[in-house]
This record gives sequence, C-alpha cells and structure tokens, in this order.
Amino acid sequence: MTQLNNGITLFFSLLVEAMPFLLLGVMFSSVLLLFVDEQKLLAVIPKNVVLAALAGSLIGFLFPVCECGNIPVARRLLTKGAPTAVAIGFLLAAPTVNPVVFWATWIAFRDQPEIVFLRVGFTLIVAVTIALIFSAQTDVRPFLQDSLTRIMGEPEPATPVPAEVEISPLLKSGTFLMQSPGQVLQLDAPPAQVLAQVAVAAPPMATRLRMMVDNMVLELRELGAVLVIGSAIAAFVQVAVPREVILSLGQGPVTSIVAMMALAWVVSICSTVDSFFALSFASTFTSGSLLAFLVFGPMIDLKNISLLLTVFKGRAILYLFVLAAQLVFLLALVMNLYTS
Amino acid sequence: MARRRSRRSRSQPLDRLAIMIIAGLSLALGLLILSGDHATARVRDFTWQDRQVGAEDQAFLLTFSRPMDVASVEKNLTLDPPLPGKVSWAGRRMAYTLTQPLPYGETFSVGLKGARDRYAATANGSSRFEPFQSQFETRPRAFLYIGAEGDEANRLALADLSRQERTILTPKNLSVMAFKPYPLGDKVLFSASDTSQAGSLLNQQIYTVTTGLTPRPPVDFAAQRPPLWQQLWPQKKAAPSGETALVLDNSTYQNLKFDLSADGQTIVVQRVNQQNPADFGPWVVRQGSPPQPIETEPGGDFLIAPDSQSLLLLQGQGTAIIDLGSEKARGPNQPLDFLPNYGRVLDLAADGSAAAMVNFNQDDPEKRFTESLFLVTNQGREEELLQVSGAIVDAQFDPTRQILYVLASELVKAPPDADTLQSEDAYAEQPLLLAITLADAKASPLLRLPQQQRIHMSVAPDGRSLLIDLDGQTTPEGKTGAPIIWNLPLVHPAVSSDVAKSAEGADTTPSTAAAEASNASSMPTVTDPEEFPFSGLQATWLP
Repeated sequence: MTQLNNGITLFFSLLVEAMPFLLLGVMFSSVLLLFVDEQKLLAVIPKNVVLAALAGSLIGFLFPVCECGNIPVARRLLTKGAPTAVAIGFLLAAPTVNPVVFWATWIAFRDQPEIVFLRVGFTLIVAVTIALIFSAQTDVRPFLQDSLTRIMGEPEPATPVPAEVEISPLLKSGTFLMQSPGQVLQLDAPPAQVLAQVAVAAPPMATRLRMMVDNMVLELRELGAVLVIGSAIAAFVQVAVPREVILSLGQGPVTSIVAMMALAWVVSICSTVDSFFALSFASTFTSGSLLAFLVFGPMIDLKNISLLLTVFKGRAILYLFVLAAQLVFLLALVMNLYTS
Repeated sequence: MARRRSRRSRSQPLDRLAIMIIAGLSLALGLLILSGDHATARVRDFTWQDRQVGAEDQAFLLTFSRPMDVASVEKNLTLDPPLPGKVSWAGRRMAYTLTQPLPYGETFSVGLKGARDRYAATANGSSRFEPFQSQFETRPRAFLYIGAEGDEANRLALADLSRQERTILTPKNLSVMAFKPYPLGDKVLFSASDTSQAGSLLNQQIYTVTTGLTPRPPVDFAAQRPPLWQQLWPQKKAAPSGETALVLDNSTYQNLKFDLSADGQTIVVQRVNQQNPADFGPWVVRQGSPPQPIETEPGGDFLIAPDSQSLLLLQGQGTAIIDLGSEKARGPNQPLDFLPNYGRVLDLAADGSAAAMVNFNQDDPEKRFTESLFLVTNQGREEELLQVSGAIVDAQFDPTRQILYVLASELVKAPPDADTLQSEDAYAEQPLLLAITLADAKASPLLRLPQQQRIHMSVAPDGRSLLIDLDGQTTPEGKTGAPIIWNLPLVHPAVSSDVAKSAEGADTTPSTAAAEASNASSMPTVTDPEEFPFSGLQATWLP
C-alpha cells in the first residue's frame, strides 16, 4: 500500500513538474510553426555542420525549455527543414544550456562554481558530437516516425534522382487536394500545418493567434498523453527499484558515475530543478559523478523516452541513448580518475 | 510500400557510423578504467585560511575534493599550538568545533599529511593526498581606554598588548565620555564633547574613529555569499588609525547615552530635545537612513540584545523588550515583553540565551535594602544567583557562558577614621569581584577590591583575563591619584593547574583573598595581577 502511495506521489510530482514545461515547449513549437518563415530560419543557420550543431545547442538560450519541452520544439525544427545537426544539438543541449538551468545550477553549486561551467561545457561537447554523428545521415527520415516524415515531405534530392523514384506524392494515405499538376496539399493534416505549407497565404494576426492556440491544444493533447505514460513508467520503476538500491551500486570512482547516471535516468527529474536534487549528493559523491548526473539526466531519461518515440524510431533513440551515456561516462571518468 | 521496406532493411550511413563509434568508445572506456585511479585528493577549501578569527568563530570547515577516509583524516590532522575540539563530518566536509574559546594574539598552523580518500581506503591502496598546510591567527589582544594623564587626557587610546604599543585615537579637542567598539574592532563608536566650544559638557556628539586594525574575518559559510563582482572587486585598504567621522550631531537634540548592536549596524541613542525636555526618549540610527525616534514610553537605561533586533529598556520598575525590527515602525511600539521584576539588565550572553538582571527586591519586605542578581534564560527560567546587602555594580558573561563575573558590594562596618565624625554604626560598601558558575549557581569571591565607588570591569573575549580600573591612591592632601588599570589573568583549572599566587593587599591593590576558597572544579582563579604603566578609565577589551 505504501508502495502504491509512493508510486502515485512520484507519478503526480513528475507530471506536475513536467507539464508547465511541456506547455512552454508546445507554445514555442506553435510560434515557430506560424510566425517563423522557414526560408529565413534556414538562411540564419550556418552551413558548416559543426557550426550548425553548435548553433542548435545554443538555441536553448532563446527557448528555455527542459527535457520535456524541447521535444515539440525539436520536432518542429525537423519539420521546418532545419538540418539534423541543429535539431539533435537542440534536443540534447537545450535542456541544460539555457539561462534558467544555468541560474539554478549556479544557486545550488555556488561553492563549486566549476560544476556550473563544466555542466554546460560537457553538455555542449556531447551534444555537438552526437549531432555530428547524426548529420552523417543526409536523409534522416528512415530514423523518424512515419507520421513525421509524412508532414516533412520529400527533401530536395542532392543528386539527380533516378527517374523511377519519381513517384506521385499521392502515393501515401490521406486526403489530398490537387492544386496544379505536381502540387498536392494534404488535407487531413492539422489546419495550422496545412496553412504553414501554403506559405503564400499569410492570414491576419488574429487568425494566426487562434491557429496557434489550436495547434498548442493539439500538440499538448498528443504529447501530454505520452508524458502521462512516461511518468507512470518512471514512477513504477522508481517504486520497483528504490533510489537507495541504485546509490548502493557504487561508491568507487568508477561505479559512482554509473550509479549517478542510472539514478538520473530513473528519477527523470526536470533539468530546471535537478541541480538541487544533485546538491544533496554533493557531499558524498565526487564532482565527476555529480556532473554525470547533471549532464546525462537532461539528455535522456525514462520519462522522455516516450516523448522521443513520437519523433524518432527506436533505433535512433538507442543510438542517442548509448552515445550520450558513453560520452558522459567518458568525460566523467576522465574527471574522476585524473583530476580531483 | 516496397520502397519503404527496402529503406528500412538497408543499413544507413548513420547505423554504420554509430555502431563504429559506440565500439570505439567502449574500447576507450575500458582502457581508461583499466589504467586506474590517478587523481590526488586534496583540501579544496579551509574556511580560516590566513584569516583573523575571534571568539565568535567557533568552528572551521575543511572541504575535501573527494570523499575521505574519516579515520585517517582525524588521526593526521595537526593543530599547532593544539586546540581541543570536536570533529564532525558531512560528506566531503569536515567541521572542527572548538570546545574552548580561542586565545587571542596567537598564530595557529593547521596541517594534514598522509590522509587517504575513501576509495583508496576501501581498496587498501596507497595514499594519494596532497599534503595540506595552512595557518590562521586570532585577533590581537588589545583594549581601549580613556586616557587620564598628559597628552592622553580625555582622549580615547588603544593599547595593543600583542604589539606592545599604545595609540591615541581621537583628536585633542574632543573630550571622550563613553565608547563602544564595533564587532570587528576596526572602528569605535564614541560620544565626546568639543572642548573648544562653550557649554561643551552637555553637547555630546557621537562619532566613529578607526583603530587602524585590519580585520580579516573568516567567510561565514552559512551566510549568503556576496555577488561575484564584489568578490572580484579589490579589497578596500584598511584605514589608518584616528580617522573620525560624525555619526549624530547635537543641533536639536542632546545625546545622552548610546549603545551599539552586536552586528554593528544599529545604534540606539537616548536623546532629549534642547528646547523641550519633555521630548525625551531613545532614537535608532541605522547606516544610510536618518535617525528615528522609537515610539515608546520614556525609559531609562537600555541595552541592545545580542540578536541586534530588540532593545531592553528600563521602563518604570521593570524592563521592557522592544522590537527594533528593521522596517520603519509607525505608531507606538508595543513592547514584545515586559519583565516587571527586574530594574536593570547588566549583560546578555552572546547567543542571547540568558541575561544577568538585577532585582531590587522592592516587593519583599524581608529582603528590603538588598539587591539580587538573577539569571533569566530565554526558556523562561529565572534563577537567583546572588543576594547582596550592598549593590550589584556589574556582571559579565564568560565567553563559554559557564561563568558570570560579578562586581558587587557588601555592607561592612566602616573602618574608624580619626579625622571625621562617625556614628557608632557607620557602614561602608566593600566591593568584591565574584565568579559564579552558572551550572550550579555557586558564587565564590575572587578579589576584595578597595572601597571606592567607581570600579569598571571588562572580561576579555577569550575569557583568559579581566581588566579592572580603579581610582588611584588618595594622597594625604585628599586628592585622588590617576586611575589605574589592572590586568587580572584568569586561570581556568581546566586549562592550567597553576597555583594561584596571592599579592600583597595594599589599599589600591586587589588581593586574592579568596583564591583558596575557589577550589570548585570549574572556578577560575586570578593570578599575578598586573598594573599597567599608564592610567585610564573604562578600560574595555576589543572584541
């Protein structure tokens, strides 16, 4: 019975903590959809892959969202045709590299200021590295969910497409409006997204605002449901495997990093408050293990895997997860074994 | 459909690259783990590093870079000269809490060699610890007094016993009446009248003067850190001694008595309107805001409580406790509390837990014409410590709050005096210096003092000595000599087991009459009273 109580408490606390940020993320996503012209967006983003990844990682300073709010924004970036490097960089770094989290970490770790800067630095290193790895794939659509690829449409082929590949855009499910030969508008997509594809028609501000709210409600309903499931799974795992068990896994210089990363993954705590959670371990764990918690937690955790599944296919999430875990582990290990 | 299936089955560039990198990283991680631990544990932070600490600092913190093997640190930590204390741990932080007040005017070195971190201890590995060596010092042993002779006459002077030098702080034209040092000893608040002006005695103004001492207090780890730009800002250079600044003038109001709060932020002054003597009462002066009257019933003597937030003010027959809360109060202040039995507050323990108060025993006919000293705690306990037939002049807590030093007088038969007419039952007041252990309320006299009215006492902040100033010897012509300042070293039996030596008891020499009587285990004794070669009044230790 107590376990059920604990589980329900954990479930609701995760949900209450994440929901405002999801709402914020959905809002930013809707703003991006309706108020930002993709042509201009693409023109601003640097052509160099490394710079693009870095730019994506730093977008968090404009959209202070945590790890549940960043997914709708990253998804919108992808559908807007931003390079994969930008979207992945944003996805991994934005929850940490943003003013709110920086300030919260600074408040919590004021007597260890290096934690604050290393947290940002490590996050940027990991995010840019993974973004570069993902940008090796020019056409990222095989790794995205089908619903998303449908919205994105075909990219402009880099090489001349063989003739047989030219298939009608009508060869997928849905309701379409044939405009002129070759121009097809999908009608069963949400109205705001339909509108966004018809870039020519710029409706008045009031209409656009109403559409923005409509789109927010739509996305929130979709992602909110997923978040509920994710929170429930995270709460269940935390009841089944108590924190003490995870922490007792390791007190050594190597095992303590593993323990803290496992803890970060399981507790799924929001990046805006996780520094205060980590502070309670500051006296018993090395700086390396704390950093592992602070860097890895916001990138991927149990709760937001369900949200990630609305964007990526399982294979891509596996790569994201394993690469992020390995890179964080590597950096934390170097920190623990070679510095203090 | 066929196309999508073929896309899924085909291995994408990302698949190949990701798997390659995952394999590479796994290899790197394995090698890194196999290479072993190369980090050296060290002390990250020592809160008293090169700082000057005082009696209010009771513990220092050592923060290590990684979790330490507790036993190895406690075994290897050295303090020279040794300071008894207790060790407690919170993760990577170790607190060392001193059990006795720090002796002033000394330099201590702290060292730690050969400690092990917890990982090395569990793996039974070798010690990888960067040896730590640091030092800190305590504030100088110094006291302030109002000079009595020559150049020093009526001027505030500082006697630094650690450096064996004396400095006159205030200018010649100011005749100092009273003073109170600021908590770090870098400044002194004093009231003085300008002798170059007519009617000067009533025209006290309140000033501050710098002592020339540079406090380097340890960073309070519990307090809010100053913003980063303030930490990086170059530290202000210490002001040379003797820089006076006016705090409160006397243009409309006369300043009578003042007190300074323990945090040095609030001054309370008893003021009376020059034109309208009915306009009389305490005023509060804070840094950066104009003086404001405290709206309350007029009162007498007062004292700011150690929390700097409340004022103990004598009102009528009792003592009112008035809120000094920093927000500007409008309308009359209701006292927070009123203690009807106590007509005087002599001292408050530095942590505010207890007060020494005097009951004039007006309500009890059997105790009429006696005074009682009470210990009143913030738990509401009131305990009578002493009842005397004369007067209770002063009482001060020892820094450990275990002993109360009391100046009191008993009525004795006046010695026959050939020159004057005396009734058969003439009485005189015999002043005594007593020590009372607060645990068992046991009083024992330390010294019998010469029979005179004006005696001033000051307990050193480290509790290791006591200053007393007395009027000088009366000459045959009836003139009183220059006042003498005595330093009475206090020997605590716990600290040293030196046998008390008694001094010869001339008229103005304190005598250790009852040194033998004070054989209670924690009762201090006075040894080798020392007379300073200069004279002065109100000798008071710097905090």
